[in-house]
Order: sequence, then C-alpha cells, then structure tokens
Amino acid sequence: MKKIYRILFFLVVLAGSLSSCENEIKFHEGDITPFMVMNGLLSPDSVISVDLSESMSVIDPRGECPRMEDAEVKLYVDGQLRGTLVHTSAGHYVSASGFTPAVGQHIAITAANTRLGSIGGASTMPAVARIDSVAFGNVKKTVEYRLDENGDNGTEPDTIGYFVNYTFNLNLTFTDPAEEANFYRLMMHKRTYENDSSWVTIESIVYDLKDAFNPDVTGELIETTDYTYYYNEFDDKIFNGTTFTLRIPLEVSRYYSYVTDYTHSSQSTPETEEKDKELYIDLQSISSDYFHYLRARGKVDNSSIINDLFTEPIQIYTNIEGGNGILGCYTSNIRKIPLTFTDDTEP
Amino acid sequence: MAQRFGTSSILFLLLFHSFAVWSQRHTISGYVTDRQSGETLISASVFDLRSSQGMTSNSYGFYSLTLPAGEVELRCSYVGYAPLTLHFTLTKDTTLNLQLDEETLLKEITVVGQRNELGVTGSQMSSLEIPVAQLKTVPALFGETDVVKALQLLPGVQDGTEGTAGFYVRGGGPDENLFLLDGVPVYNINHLGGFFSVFNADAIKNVTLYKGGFPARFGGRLSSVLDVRMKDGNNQKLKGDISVGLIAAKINLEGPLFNEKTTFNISARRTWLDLLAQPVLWVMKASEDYDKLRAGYHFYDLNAKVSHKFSDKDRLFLSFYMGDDDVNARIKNSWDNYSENMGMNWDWGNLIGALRWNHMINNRLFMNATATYTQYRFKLNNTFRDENTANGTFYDVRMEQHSGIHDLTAKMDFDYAPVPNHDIKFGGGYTLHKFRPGVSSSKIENREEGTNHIQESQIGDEPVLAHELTIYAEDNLSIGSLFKVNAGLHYSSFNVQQKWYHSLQPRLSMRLLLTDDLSFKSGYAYMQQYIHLLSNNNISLPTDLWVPVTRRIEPMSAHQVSAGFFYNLLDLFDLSVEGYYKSMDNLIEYKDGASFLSSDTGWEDKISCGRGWSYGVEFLAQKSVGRTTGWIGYTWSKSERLFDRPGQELNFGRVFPAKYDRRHDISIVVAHKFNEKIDIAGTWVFSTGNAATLATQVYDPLVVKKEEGWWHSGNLSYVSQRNNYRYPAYHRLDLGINFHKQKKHGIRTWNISLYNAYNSMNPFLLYLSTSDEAVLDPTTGQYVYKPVLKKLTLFPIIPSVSYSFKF
Repeated sequence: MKKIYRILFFLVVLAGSLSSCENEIKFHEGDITPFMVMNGLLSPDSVISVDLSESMSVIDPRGECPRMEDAEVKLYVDGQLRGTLVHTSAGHYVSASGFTPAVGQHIAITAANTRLGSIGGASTMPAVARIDSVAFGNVKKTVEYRLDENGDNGTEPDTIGYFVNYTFNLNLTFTDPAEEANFYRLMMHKRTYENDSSWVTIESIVYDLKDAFNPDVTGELIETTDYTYYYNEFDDKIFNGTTFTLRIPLEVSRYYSYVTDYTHSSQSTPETEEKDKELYIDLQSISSDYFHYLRARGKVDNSSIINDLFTEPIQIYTNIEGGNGILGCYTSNIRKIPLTFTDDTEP
Repeated sequence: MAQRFGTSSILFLLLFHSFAVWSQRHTISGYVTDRQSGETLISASVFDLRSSQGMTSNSYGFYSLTLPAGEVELRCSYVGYAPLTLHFTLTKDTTLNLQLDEETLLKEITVVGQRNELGVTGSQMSSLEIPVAQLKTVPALFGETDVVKALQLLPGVQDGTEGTAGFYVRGGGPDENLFLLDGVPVYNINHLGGFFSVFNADAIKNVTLYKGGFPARFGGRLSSVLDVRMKDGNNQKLKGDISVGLIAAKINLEGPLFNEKTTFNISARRTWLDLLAQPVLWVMKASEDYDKLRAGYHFYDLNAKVSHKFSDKDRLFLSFYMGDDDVNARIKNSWDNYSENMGMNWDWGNLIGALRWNHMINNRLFMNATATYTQYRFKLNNTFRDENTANGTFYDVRMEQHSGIHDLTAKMDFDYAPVPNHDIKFGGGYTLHKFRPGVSSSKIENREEGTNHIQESQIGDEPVLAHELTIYAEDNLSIGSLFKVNAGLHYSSFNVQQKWYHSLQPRLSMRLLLTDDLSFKSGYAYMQQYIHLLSNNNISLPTDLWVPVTRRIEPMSAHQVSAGFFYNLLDLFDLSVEGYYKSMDNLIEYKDGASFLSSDTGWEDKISCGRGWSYGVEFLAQKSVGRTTGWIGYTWSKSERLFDRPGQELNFGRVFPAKYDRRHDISIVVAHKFNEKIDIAGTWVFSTGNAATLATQVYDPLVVKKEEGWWHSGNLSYVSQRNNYRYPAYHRLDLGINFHKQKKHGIRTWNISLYNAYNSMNPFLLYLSTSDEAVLDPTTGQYVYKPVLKKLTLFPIIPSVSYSFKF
C-alpha cells in the first residue's frame, strides 16, 4: 500500500513539472475594435494635407496599418467650412482648393467613414517666433594631428593631416510673448556649399538642447526635469514674456590632409578645402497640441527594449476626437549663419 | 433655616456616600499567561460576572480591573484556552496573575463578557485577529506556512500577482501598510519577490490586522497596521520545533535561561534553492565549457528574543531580527592567455533591534518604554574583468547601486485603567529617519601599454535625514451597557529639508450593542503618511525605493469611514458585513516613461502627485473553535485614481483604475481535525482580474524628423488608459494534510500539500508573442507565425512534503 502512494506521489510531481506554463489567450472584443487615425502637420508654407489610416490590433499579422482611401474630409477655418480635402494616394488627402493656412487661423478637419464613423481635430496656427539676434560666442580652437601608424617606411608613425576643431556657443536670442503660453521647436543643420555653391550638402549637427537649459549656462535656477528634449521642443515656462538667449554648445571640425587618401586630394589645404559652410537655424513656433505630442513621442522613441520592463507605459497625446493621431501647426523663422572662423591655417 | 440645614445635610450625606462608595473600589491587576509556557496572552478577557464589568489584557498581557469591594466572580478567557473562574472577596488592591491552560480542541467559544476588543462587543472594527495556530493550518506554496499569505485570504486584503509581493488593503498601495514586529516597523516583508514573508510563524505569538478604525496609538501609514508579536519564550522548559521542507529548513528553540525569570526564543530559517540548483549548473557548465559557473538564490531569517522578569512590576525584553535575500551569479571563461570574468550579486534585507522595558507604575498604570533600530537596505553589484596575462593588460568594471532606510526610535506608551469603563492609552515617540533613495557608483580601471587608467563616478541622491515626532491619546470607554466608543487623537510632525509638516488625526470607533450577539459598529480615521515606496507599474522589485516627503512632495493623507454589523451565531460563528469609503490625497506614481533605472535626475522629477478613492463591502463568516475551523470571505471593491494637477497629469487628467483594483474577491478556508493524528486543510480562492497597462492596438505615427535624414519608423502602440486591461480571473485550490505521531521525545509531523490542486493556469504576466505553429496567411499564401497574446503561469500544480519534529 505504501508503495502505491510513493508511485502516485512521483507521478503527480512529474505531471506538475511537465505542465505547460505558457498559454495563448484572446483579447477582449472591445479592445481591438479599429479606429481612424488622422495625422497632419500644417504650416503657412504648404498646402493643407493630412494622412488617414486605420488602427489594427497588436496581434494583427499585417505589418502596416491600412490606409483610409474612402473618407470624406472637410476643412473648417475659424469655424467656417472652407472646402474638402481630396484623396491623392495611400491615404494622403490634400486641400482641393490649395488652401494654405495663415497665422492666427483656427483650422479644424473632420473625416468620416461609413465603417469607422467620424473623427475630427483642430489646431491654431501660432505666430512666427521673434528672433532678436543670432551670434557665436566663446569660440575656442584646438588642433589634433592625425598619425598614420604604419608610416611610409612601415616603422615610424607619420603625420598625414590634422583636425581643426572649433567649440563655441550658439547664442540665439528671442522674445517670448507674455500674454499666452508659447511652444517652440529648434531645428538646425549644417550646409556645405561646394563647387562655387552649385552643390549643397546637408548634414546633421550634434547638439543637446538640455545644455541650453542647464542652470550653469543660463544662470537661472531651473527646475530639473527627467526629460531629454528628444525632438528639441520646449515651452516658455522659464522665460515667459521675456527676452531669452538660448546658449547651445556646438562643435564643428575640419580636416586638412597632407596625403592623398580616399576622401581627400593630395596636399589639401585650407585654401583648397571647401570653406563655405553655414549653420541653418529654424526656430519654429509650434501649437500646444503638437508640442505635447512631440513630448510624448520623445519618451517613446527614446526608450529602449531593455528599459521597457522597468519603464512606465507611455500614452501618446492626441487631439483627434473619436480617433487618434495629431493635427499640429507650426511657423518657421529661419536664419543662416556662416560657419567661418579666422586663423584657419595650420599652426 | 431648618429647610436650608436639611438641604445642606442631604447634599453632604450624598457626597459622603459617593466618596464612601468610591473608596470601596479596589483594583485587581496582573498578567494573563499560558500556564505551561509562561507566555503572556494578548487581549485576553478578564470579566467579573457579578458586576458585569471587565477589561482585556494589553499587548504585554497586563490587565487592570477596578471593581467594587465585595464578592468577585472573576472569569478569564482566551480563544484556544480553557476559561478560568475564580471566586474571592475583594477587600484591597490585589495583584493577581492569571494562568490559563491550553485546550487542543474547544467545543465552543468560551470567551465571554468583553470577548475581545475585536469581537461583537468590542468597539474596534475593521480589524481581525486570527489565531496563529489557525493561520498555520492554511496550505501554502512549497509547504511553507506563511502568516502574510494567510492574511491575504481575508476580505479587504489582496495580494499582488500570482504569489508575488504586495499587501493591498482596501485599495491602498503596498507602502501604505505598517508592519510591526514587536512594535518595530519592518520596511520590506518579502522574500523571493514576495512568495514568502519575513515572518516566521514558529516565532509568532499573536497577529492582529487593522484595516480601518485605527486606534490613535497607530500612525504613519494610510491603509493598514499588521501588529505581529513574537513569543517571549517558554519559562518552564526547553522546547523546540525543527522542520525540513521542499525548499527550506527551520528551527525554533525556546526555554528558560538560568531560571524561569529569564527566557529566550530563537528561530532560524534558510532556503536551499541554491543547493538544489547546483546539479543543473554543473550540467550547464560542462555543456557550455565554462571554467566556472556559479549561480544561486537563498534567503534566511533569524529571530531572537530574550526576556527577563525582574519582578511583577518590571520586565525587560531584547528582540532582534535579521533577514536577507541573496541572488548571485558568476561566470569565468579562459582561453590561451585571455580570461573573462563576469559576476552579479543582488542583495536586500532587514535588520531590526528593540529594547523594551515594561514597568507597572501602580496597579492602574502600566508603562512600556522602547528603543528600536530598523534598517532596510538593497545592493546590486555588477563586475566584469577582461584580462590578458601575456601583456598584463586588463579591463575591469565595477558597478554598484544601493539604497536603504534606517530608523532610530525612542517611545513610551502608557495604559491607564482608572475605572472599568475607561481604558486609556497615551504616549509618544521620536524617530530619526535616514533615507538613501538611490546611489549608483562605478569604477572603470584598465591597464594598457604599461599605464593604468582609473575612472570613478558616483551619481544619485544625497542621504536625507528626517525627524518624526508623535503623541497620542485614546480612551476606550463604555457608556452604559449598549454603547462603547474608542475615541482618540494622534498628532504627528515631520521635519525634512528644513520643512515641518504637522498633522492632527482624529480617530473614532463606536459600537452599539443591539442584542447580546448583534452589534452595529462604525468608525472614522484620518491618517497621514510621510514616506512613500516608489514602485514600477509593471513589476514590483526589491529595488523599489523608500523615499520621504520633501519640500516639493507633501505627505499622503486619507480619510476613511466604515460601518457594519457584527453577529455571533450560537457561540460558534462570527459573522460580519462591513462597508467602507476611503479618500486619499497626495498619492504618487511614476510619470509616463519614467524608470528607476535612469538616475541622471532625482526621483522627485519622475513622479506625479494626485488623489484616489476606494470603496467596498466585505463579508466574513469565521469559525475558530471546534474540529472544523476556517472562514469564508467575500469582497466587492472599487479603487480609482485621478492625477490632474497642472503639469503632473497622468492618463491625460482622467480617472483611471488603480493598479490593484479588483472587483470581486472570494476566499474559502477550511481546516478539519479528525483526531490527534490527522488533520486536513483546504483553501479555494477566486478573484476577478487585476488591472494592467497593455497596448491593444497599433497605429500610424506622424513622421517627425529628428535630424537630417533620420526619423523613427514603425507603428505606435495605443494604450487607451492607464491600467486599461483586465487580467483573466484567478482561481486556485490548495490542499494539505498532516500526519502526527507521538514519539518518545516529541511529536513528529509529515505534511503533504498540493498547491494549485487542479492546475489552474493563472496569469502571472501577459505579453505579446508568436503562435506556436505556423498558419496559412490567405493574402500571401505563405505559412506565418501569427502574433498572439500569451499568459505566463508561474506555478502550475506543485506538490510538496515537509517533516517537522516538535519537542
């Protein structure tokens, strides 16, 4: 009798250890009912357009969300119907009349579909940001020689060129209107003009907007934040109604080669290297909903897979009623500053 | 004139008579103890059947009862013990220590009169006292009896996810519970992620849980107080208990030291999961060709207590608890002249010490003075070393993250019983807190080309000192025979970062006796809490940080009202139905996208403050006597949050369910004793699903350029709201059976348990994955693995066996 109990016990233990611990379950029906999505970024420099699509369940095997090509889309400006948007391709709708919004106008767009119902979003075109001045400050130059480890005779390292590095502050001074909450986005890149300006190369410039709000830089006591300014968007809480200077540390570097290699011609010098570089600055004034959207997107796009388990879930901001997405507005104020520094010859 | 003389005389005579009557009252006082072991009995009833007046013993077993001179029929009773009745004539103040004999099986509830403070006639509501013996009968995971796991089966108390950390009382968070071990707060009560608590049932004498109607002597937490009292130790002879189970071994020893005036109680427990894992690691090491592979997890608890009785008036106690969890892993690889070493060590635990002096100032006034120290600390170490012995180069990285909290406390408590109608408690205390919310340090050292380079850094929050002062007074008074009230005031102040917070917290609990067996109770309590536990929304970890209020983050507060009916049926069953409403303010939660892993800014910037509320109804039917004992509990509850302060919005400033908002909770616990040799127990629980934040859909993003030629691609996840998704319902049956046998020197017991007896696949975690088999996609004509939602079950059916010997 005791032996039977022992065998039974062993079987139970075996059964427990072999039981499957992972099972598929179904979503609740209401959680996976699709909704319409509207995305649009409006500016006075372009004709009004939006993209419409349909959401899909996380377990939908299709890789891409379906585009909505049969919606009825209407445009309202300051509460008045101003026409429709027509479908061009792949869920893209453009103002039939070629309407471009103006500063101060309240734009509302609705989209209706027999299957998914109707959605709508609205935004107001902000005024252009007022830039007072743009200048470089605190310019520092360093030179770094590049050595060829093998050398011409294979034994001694040889100097084959040198980097000239400039670190400086970009001082962007602008005045913020006092009577309202304002939101901004800073876009910058480098442009290089070659062959007598007939060829333009656009390249990124590395900067961190957090440096601009560092109390050591601004001298202000600023409430610290966990945020990373991922899309370089910021609000006016610190400087509301005042003239404020953004001081952003930047660095540019040029290389001068003594030898021919795959990127440089022989004996290139500052005289023969391209010299016409400029900093392209676009201080955008953006609508509040676009700002909140960028802030949420920044948190999502800045998170990593490793952090997901330990990171609080993020809800993306939306101003689309009855659906999801974003309808935002922005205006641009563009300045171009030549990236020229004196004393550029080999030391 | 004759009239005035007559009136004055009558008044004088009345006053004289009153004085004479008053002066004919005498006080009986002393301790209520277990006759065999000498253990004091808490909340034992001492009742005079002639005058129908009585009291209950306090937390140290002391009682004081003032009665009219004359004949006294004193009855002392306590659940699990045979009642003691004494007849005598009371002519003066008398010290009378009462010794009760334990009954192995009570046929009926023989606690009469006051019963205890928590029963039908007591003024205390929203509170439960489950006998430790009954808690130990509840079948448990791996056969390890656990007090906290048993309490999670009571109405109003919820656990977290399957088997893990969390003690959620009436919609409150896990940091809103005050866990006291002999009056000392314990900050982290969880081993192995919460599968077991730090409380060793063998060392415990009494467990009382307060869910509302908090007496004024308690403060500092919003939602509950779990008052755990350790045994003092048997003062007659050495006794012990040794137990060996599937994953742990325990030993408990108690007895007199030198003589019966000094006793000790020591308990120790250690798991051997690390030993069990070694064979698996040997196989892995051989198969992967590691030089060294070590990994393991273990935890241990050590409880120790020494008590000394100087006299009937003075007793001294020294308590100590130390517990630790350790997770470690080490891998070493080497080939030719290279070697690579990686290591990880994760360590957390509590250290508690308390020195206590009981002094009977007079037979109506009892004093307890206590000095305590409590510490919780967590440490994570990662090491990596890469070495080339041929040229002497190496690369060594050491990273450490640690956090902790230390408290030093001094306090005094007084029990004053001037007359039977008044049971007054008052006292105060001071606590020095030291918080270390989170510090990360790293050291990178490398040697190449004969040169050593060292880089060290340390980031994180500076330690924070805080001062806390508390004063309280409460009176448990009877007004007539039908009405009883516990009214009190708790004052606390907290100083941190040169800022003072003050709080005056009224407490009120009342009972109206409708019949001898039926009462109506109601209560109100205002509570304030000065410390928070920052806990990730997805998973609770030992890395959760204890942080104080600051200049920016104000104390949490809660108002709770409760009311209910309490009925004793045939002296066998205690039935209750109770409703509550709790509103909370200054609650904190991590903001969207915040993570405890990023330490580049302080924790204050990662959290939002808001408010919440919870309400519900609890039903309990409990039987504590007879061969069959147990309880049935049901809770309907709802708990919500609203974080809508400007700049701190969560869920876009809309109401959302709290993390452990569960609508229905049922638990059935039954234990039956056939005879002295066999007893069985079973538990069945059911609850509707926990809330969790889960993305259910994806949608197209707006294409936003970040840099030239670069932008994020891919869909965005859609989360309709915080805690939007409901886990599937949870249900589980546990069974256990004990076989006892009397041996020469003691009793041996075999326990066989079955956790999750019908193998219910309860969800521990939900996640997106792919189907196990490929299916035909009609649009492409190809076989693909579909994305699916899956649940991970942690514990299927788990049998266990343990052996114990009690002498």
